[in-house]
Amino acid sequence: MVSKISLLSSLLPIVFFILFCFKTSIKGFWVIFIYCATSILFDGFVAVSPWGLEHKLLLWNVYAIFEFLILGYFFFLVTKQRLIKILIILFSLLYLIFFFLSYKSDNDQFNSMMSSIGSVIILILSLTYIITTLGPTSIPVDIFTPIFLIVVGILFYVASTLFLYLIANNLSNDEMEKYWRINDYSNILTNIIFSAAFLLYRFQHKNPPPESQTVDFTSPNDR
Amino acid sequence: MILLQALSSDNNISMVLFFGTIGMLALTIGLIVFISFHQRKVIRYQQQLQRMEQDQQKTLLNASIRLQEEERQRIAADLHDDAGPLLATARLYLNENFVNLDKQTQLQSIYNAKQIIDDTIQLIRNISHSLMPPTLKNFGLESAVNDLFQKISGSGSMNASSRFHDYRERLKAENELIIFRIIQELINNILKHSNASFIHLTQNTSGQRFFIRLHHDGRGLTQNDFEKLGKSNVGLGLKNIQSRLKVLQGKIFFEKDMSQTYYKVTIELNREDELKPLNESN
Repeated sequence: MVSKISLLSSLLPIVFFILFCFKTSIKGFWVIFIYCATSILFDGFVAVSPWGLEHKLLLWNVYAIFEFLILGYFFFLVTKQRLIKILIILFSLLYLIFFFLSYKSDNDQFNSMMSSIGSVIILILSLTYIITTLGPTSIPVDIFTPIFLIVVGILFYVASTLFLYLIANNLSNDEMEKYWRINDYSNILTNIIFSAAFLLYRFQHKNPPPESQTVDFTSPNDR
Repeated sequence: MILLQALSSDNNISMVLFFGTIGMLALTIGLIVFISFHQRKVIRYQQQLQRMEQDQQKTLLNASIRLQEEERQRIAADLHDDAGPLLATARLYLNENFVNLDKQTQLQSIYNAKQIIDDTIQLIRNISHSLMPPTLKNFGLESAVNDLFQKISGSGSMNASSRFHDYRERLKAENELIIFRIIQELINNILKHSNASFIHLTQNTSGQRFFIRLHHDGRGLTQNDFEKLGKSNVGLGLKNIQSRLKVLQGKIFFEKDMSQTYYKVTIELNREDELKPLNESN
């Protein structure tokens, strides 16, 4: 039941994006849209297709790589610091190399270690984004932006699934089924936050700052 | 290791998973709540600072307007009380020519009218000089200050001297006037309140910084006094100094000399700012 709600909840940000942000040029939003769309396709494929069900763990591994790369790309887009951008590229390459090195084709199991490492890196990137947004000075910045909300959503997702990924290999199939609900719950929460971010974008985009509505800065001669 | 030991039994797996996930979530929520509160606190603090800044600006603006009004009233009074009667008298003398046909009397009245018009010209010149000292306009700050100090010394009540160490290039005319007005205001305060027996002004530069320092041996102000007076309703002249310095983006420091004998007032300006056009630096 929860897994179905989780699957359906992935539709929510997609719908909100199409309704409110489809004309946006913010690349980060498009990345999250692609992430949500791919997520629902993966989950749907695993749930519906017999092959998918049979090779569920393999698909999860592929999805773990995709998830890490796409979230890494999201942070690459939203981060302004050059050093962090370089580190994201470096970590992505290292992650890919280690993932393939640690992956055993004969042993069709979820790559718990690399998924956890991926979660930790994304967690660090989320925290770095939040800290750098707040900045070293005490100048107040409008942190409650759609991008900030998306980062909060990602932070919740990786924080809540980190321990699940960490001990996934120690779980039996039954336990995996049982505890995988954590992933479903966090997925629902993240999708709601993503949707809220798209909605917030719509509101902020719809209502420009009041002064630009009321004050005409042009000279009558220029009009 | 702790995690692996904890994972040794099935029950512990649930425990680790449960507490781990809850812990991570709690940390995340805590972080978000902390950020929200911190942000609100920073915004509140910033708003408070802005309000204080606005109040200060308002006080300075009021002081500047009051001073301007006082100046206008003075000029109006000078024109009305001095120039007006003089010109009216000259007119009377000239009118006399129409009624009096005696040539000698006519010449006398024209001569009298000429004398009065000369006096009026001198009076208007004095008013004009008080608005923009000609020495300052033609020869610069150094000459204007020397001129001012000579007048003070000439009165015999105080010994005033000045020395410009590095003033090869003149500042912009409008900035020189502002600095001169600040010096005038400071001198005025010293004359009125300090009971000093000497004033010495020195000018110097250090890199792009331009300094003017006044020493006197009377009762003076410290930086605390200056700031307190700047915030209070009294001390119009000091507020005027502040507002003028704001235009120049300069600083002023009031302190007592190391020897505790003299008071020092230092005006610090940045020549880089001075070189920019005024509206660009604002």
